[in-house]
Amino acid sequence: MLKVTDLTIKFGGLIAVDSVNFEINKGDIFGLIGPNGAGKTTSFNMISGTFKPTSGTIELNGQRIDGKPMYQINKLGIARTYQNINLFKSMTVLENLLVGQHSRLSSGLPSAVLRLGKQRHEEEAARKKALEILKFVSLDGKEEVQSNALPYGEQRILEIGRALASDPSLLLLDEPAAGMNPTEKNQLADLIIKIRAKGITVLLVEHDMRFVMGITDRICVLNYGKRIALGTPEEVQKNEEVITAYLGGGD
Amino acid sequence: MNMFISVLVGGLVLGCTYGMLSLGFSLIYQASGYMNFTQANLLMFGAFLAWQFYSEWKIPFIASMALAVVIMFFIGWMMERSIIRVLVAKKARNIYVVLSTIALSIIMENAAMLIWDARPHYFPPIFKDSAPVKLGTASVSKESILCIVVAICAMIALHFFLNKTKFGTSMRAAAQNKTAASCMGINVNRTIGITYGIAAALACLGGILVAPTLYVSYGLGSQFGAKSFAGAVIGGYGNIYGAIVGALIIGLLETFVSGYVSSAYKEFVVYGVLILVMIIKPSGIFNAKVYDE
Repeated sequence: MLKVTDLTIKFGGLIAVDSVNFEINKGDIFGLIGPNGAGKTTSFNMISGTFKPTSGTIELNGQRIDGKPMYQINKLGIARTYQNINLFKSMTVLENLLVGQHSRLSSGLPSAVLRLGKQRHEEEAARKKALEILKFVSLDGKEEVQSNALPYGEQRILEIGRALASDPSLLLLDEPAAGMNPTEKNQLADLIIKIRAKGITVLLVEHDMRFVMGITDRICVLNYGKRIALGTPEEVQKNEEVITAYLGGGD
Repeated sequence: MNMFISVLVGGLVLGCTYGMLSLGFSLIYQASGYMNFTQANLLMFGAFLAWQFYSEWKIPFIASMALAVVIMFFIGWMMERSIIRVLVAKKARNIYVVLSTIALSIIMENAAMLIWDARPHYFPPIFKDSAPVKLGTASVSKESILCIVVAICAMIALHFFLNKTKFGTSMRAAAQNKTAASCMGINVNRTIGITYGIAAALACLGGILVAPTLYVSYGLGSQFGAKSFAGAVIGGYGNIYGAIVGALIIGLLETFVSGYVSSAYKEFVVYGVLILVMIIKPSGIFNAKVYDE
């Protein structure tokens, strides 16, 4: 469903991502891994529209999306979370989930001002959906809590919930397990598998190898901006180049 | 007692007018992180438009007011779209963006002088029956009451718009976190443009409401700009509720000092309070974020 072809980005003279190719199948949990500075998050940012690639293409179900602004990419069905939590801090949990549905709500400015019946109906539906999502991510009962008052792990989960609120077909998770304790990590893994079961494809960048190996179907390994391996977790773990990159042998 | 009521009403009229401007200062600061110094001259320009429609072309007051507010909304929106957004996209430093609003403000003042000449223009009364309203034993002009009522309605409408509508929620989201908001499918440039439009429309409303008690001239804005900015700061810069409270405090302070002490001291007191607030409680009444982290 997502096809990345010869993806390249340069910052000044530095080639951060160099001719990377990979394809994600519908319904997969796909991992993008690599040592620090390998270009994972940069690739991620190009897919979600934060950066425009210098060259190469990104296609979502055959449609070019590279270089489109973030808000349009979200409308096309890609939602993401961030490495550093990026919630609307002074809004409640519920409000965060309502904003998450922004691109799926139709009522524009005129009907909002006039408070037409359709608008009320839509608001009611949006609220209902937000509560369903809270239940799905096991944060039910916390809808009126201000989001920055949640414990850290729950803020990360809320960010995933907010991304789900836009009904994505592809969910990008940028180091979702960062800073979580083992229990939280297990819950997160269960959640990601539940998300996949809903038919949502997941692309995830992660440092925690055990976490990635445990839940992904396929993995792409980057090192210094280049792809060094692509395959199932078993294949990747056996790959010589990957072992060298991670264990830092060579020289 | 008579004096107290008329000073109070005068202070509220002034405070509400400042409020219409300080709301704009805070809305724009919250949405885009920039200060916009065109506010005061948008007020003046809006008042002139309404004067043109009402006094010259004899359009009914309500229609003149609505027309002027809509036109000013588009002027504010266009200003962001055609100038400020271009500078921001070029990654101009903040100071250049702010400077461009000062330049725009002067251009607007000059344009008003060229279009409507430099004389002060008399704004005809809004109500046919010009007899003042009796509040107890004090008499208050209907225009003053109208000013206060309309300003309060505008503030309540803004509150509902921001908190209860999808568009308002997306505006607040974009103001809090631009990256996350655009990631949620919100076109942040659009929400910022509309914020400038709303700020201009509020300024225009302020101008129209205060026009009958003052004369309309190209210098009308200059008496409101600095004090409404001070109101926004005292309330907590970037907080719209603070902006209203701060503006009312400034308006009341000014009229009470003029009324009970001497008008010679009013500027002294208003700006003295501003400096004290900045030193003692720089985050203002509503705890705005003031220091860089």
